[in-house]
Amino acid sequence: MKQRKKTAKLRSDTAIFKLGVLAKEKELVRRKLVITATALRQKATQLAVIAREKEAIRRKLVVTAKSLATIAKEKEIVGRKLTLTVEKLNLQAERLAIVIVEKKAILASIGDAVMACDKDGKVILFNRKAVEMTGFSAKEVVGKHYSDAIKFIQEVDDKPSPDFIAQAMKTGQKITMADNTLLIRKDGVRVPVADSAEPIRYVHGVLIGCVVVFRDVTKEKETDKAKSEFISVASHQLKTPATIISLYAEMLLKGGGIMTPKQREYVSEIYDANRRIVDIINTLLNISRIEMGIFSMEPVPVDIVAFLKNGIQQLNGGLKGKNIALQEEYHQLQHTVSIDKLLLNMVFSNLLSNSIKYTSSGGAISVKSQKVKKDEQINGRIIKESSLLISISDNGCGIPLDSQSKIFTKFFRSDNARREHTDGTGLGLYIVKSILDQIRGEVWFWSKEKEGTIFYFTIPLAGAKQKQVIA
Amino acid sequence: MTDNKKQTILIVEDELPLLNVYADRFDEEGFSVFKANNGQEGLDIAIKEKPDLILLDILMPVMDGLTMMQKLREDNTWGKTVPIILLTNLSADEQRIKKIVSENKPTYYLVKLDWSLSAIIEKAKAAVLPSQK
Repeated sequence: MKQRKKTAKLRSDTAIFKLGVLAKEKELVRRKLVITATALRQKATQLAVIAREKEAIRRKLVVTAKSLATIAKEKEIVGRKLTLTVEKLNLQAERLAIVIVEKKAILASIGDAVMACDKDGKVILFNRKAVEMTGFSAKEVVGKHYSDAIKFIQEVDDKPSPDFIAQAMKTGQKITMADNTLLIRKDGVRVPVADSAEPIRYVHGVLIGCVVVFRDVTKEKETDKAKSEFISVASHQLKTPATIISLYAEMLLKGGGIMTPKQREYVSEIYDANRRIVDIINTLLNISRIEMGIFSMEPVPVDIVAFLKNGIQQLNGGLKGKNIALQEEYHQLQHTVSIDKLLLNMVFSNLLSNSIKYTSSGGAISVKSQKVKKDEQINGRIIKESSLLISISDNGCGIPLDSQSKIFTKFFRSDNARREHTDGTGLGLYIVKSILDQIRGEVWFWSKEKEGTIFYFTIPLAGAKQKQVIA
Repeated sequence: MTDNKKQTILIVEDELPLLNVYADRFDEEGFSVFKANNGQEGLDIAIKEKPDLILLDILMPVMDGLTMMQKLREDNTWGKTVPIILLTNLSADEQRIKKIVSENKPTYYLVKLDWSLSAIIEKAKAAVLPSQK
């Protein structure tokens, strides 16, 4: 019994102990559970955050997908548009090609030679006629600078012509070739040519190049020469009868007493009228000689200032007779240039006597000289080479606007000039222009009807070349 | 004039009205006048009559004035020194005429149209003076 009791007590002790241990274990488990719970809560929180982020990303993805869809649609539209544009462009290219072919055909068929160059002066077009006239093929010329491609010279002295193409591009204005220009063909033959250079402007006035048109004037020159020769021969034929009239009228006028005073007056009229015929004959002969180039030029050193003073002196009668005030203004006391005095006198006396003729009594005339440089601009005219500039201005009847383009034309007289003086020949200014063409001088004017006129002419400082006529 | 012998002039001109008016005028001035219609006639008369002065047209048939003058100047002592006035309306080759004139002194050159009869007479008288002893 006691044993049993002992065993029972042992057993209960063991149980108590076990219970104690269990309690401790439980406590441990509980604690662990608490920790785990905390950790779990934390995880739960983290998961919640992640879930939110994921949601946000998902939403974003949805948006992106939508915009991608939109872009795709837009791309599709652009693609279609591009296809359309390409089609249109192809069509336009075709049309352009046709236009170009047409234009090329038109340019090629133009009866005048056409050369175009870009703004740097490189030749970009050389038409069929240009090829025919110059002897150069388009291949030889296109791409070169125009001045290396074809050469223009002056008939007078064989020097290169003033660069009218550069001038046209510089001024932006149409420039006409100087008279008596020759083109040197590839084979060296010289062809007389005429015409002009006109700058090409793009929409906004931007200069992109220059078109040069020139034509062969050999036939015109020949016709002109034949006409000059005719005038020359006809005038010569008139000389002898004019001389006979002059001398016989002189015989009658000398033999005083034979005629009545009235008869004397009649013969005197015949004599005076014949004098006018003689003047016209001489003028016509001078013209034909200048035109045919068969007058001689003997340049000698001439003091231009003294020459002008002397020219004024010769016409002093006319100035005094009309009580015209004359003002003289010279750039220096004297200035010597090599020039043919006779020709220069024809130029100056023609211009000054015109001024006197067409200025009313009590008017004013001024004669000025000055030095001008190349490219300087004087009343609308660009000076071609360093020269002496002579100007003659008056406050006379002026030249009507509609006559201004014709005044250097042979036999032309403006209506108001006809009214003022019925007996002019219309040859004076033509002679002036022809002479200046020969000595490389220039002539131009400013004028306004009833206000006055200024005539300008230049004498190249380089001087004139001697020109001998072989008879 | 102290010399009572008339001065002689030969006028060579193919244009008759001109020849006659020159002849009349020189006659009035007291010259003894010989007339010729062309250079050949002129040369013959000149050699025969030895005038004090020759008035010579240039453009003429048979022989022109310049040829006649050169022939005169070539082979005759008298012909070398006789004063000659070339009268012409030929002006196209003035240069050439001027050259010939300067090579054939005493020779003068006048353009008909620019010279009145009285001016020609004056010129002729002046040209004759140096040859008078």
